[in-house]
Amino acid sequence: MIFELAIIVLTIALLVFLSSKNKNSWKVYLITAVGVLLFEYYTQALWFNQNLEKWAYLYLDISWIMTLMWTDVILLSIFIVESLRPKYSEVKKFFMSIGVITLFVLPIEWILIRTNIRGYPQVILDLYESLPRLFGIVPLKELIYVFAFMSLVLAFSRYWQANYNLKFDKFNGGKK
Amino acid sequence: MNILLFEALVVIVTIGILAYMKYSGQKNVMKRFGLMLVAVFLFQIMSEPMWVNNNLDSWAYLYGNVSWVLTFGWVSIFFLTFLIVDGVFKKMQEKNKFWLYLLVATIITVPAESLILKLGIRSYADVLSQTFSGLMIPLTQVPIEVLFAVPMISALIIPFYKYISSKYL
Repeated sequence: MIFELAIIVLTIALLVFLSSKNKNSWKVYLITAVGVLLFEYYTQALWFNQNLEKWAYLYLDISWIMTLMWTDVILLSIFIVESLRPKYSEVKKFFMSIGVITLFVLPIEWILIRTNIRGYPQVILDLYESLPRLFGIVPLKELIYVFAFMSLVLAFSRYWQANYNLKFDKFNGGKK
Repeated sequence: MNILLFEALVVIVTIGILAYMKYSGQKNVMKRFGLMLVAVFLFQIMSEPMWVNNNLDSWAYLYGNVSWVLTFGWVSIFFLTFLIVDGVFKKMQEKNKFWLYLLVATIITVPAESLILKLGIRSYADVLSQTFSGLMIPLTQVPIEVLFAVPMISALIIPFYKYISSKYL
């Protein structure tokens, strides 16, 4: 329950903060959440989201709390990169964002595995064991998955931002 | 149809589509091809444990379960989709064409998936087949879930390709 509430509070705080910096924030958040949800739905067979409250699940073990969490990570990473390096090219910012996301994912996955919220089917565990684990816990193979997952979801978000002309690269008070 | 014939057919169709794109005046065709390969490959990295690609010749595999011939097949499906939708709906806005891309890609994929199932190339891992309802698309051996999965795959691969190509090609 604490985990679910913490994610909800963090999401609200992030949205309030980002909305004060860029008026398109909640729309971009929604688009990104759709991308995350699409990916979660498609890859649901590859992992378990377990031990969450019943109300935290959308369908089977797909949890909207996890969707919020990954969306928070993506938007916060975009904000950090856009704020720190606004003049970098799109390609640099794209890969920097994935780098920042990965930095967030490492401790988050560590916590999820430790708290037994994240689990994997045996076939995936066998696959993960084919490569070493970082810090003895987070499978290196999962980092490759994170790169693939986030590349596709981040591009999904950028594509729809462009389609609806939702600028999300300038923030009040950021570096000019 | 034997497996070698299938593999050769996929490669020939891919070359044919790329040649048509070049002939019809599209720029950076090989870069576009490379970009779409990356997009499909990213998805295959993620979804590799969910299916098994059997019975292809050994040279048709990149690593483990991932086949470059089937990757070419996916690339062909997406490029053919773009050719059809962009050709027929030239003036439609991109955000509207997106939904047609998903529809056309699904229509092309269902018989292609049916063919590779019949040839014994495609089978599904237990981790995935356990989630199937058991219903099939009429007149095929293709699980009904493919009708949901293909638009989802396409909804992530197409934006990746479109976004990156709009910025760098």
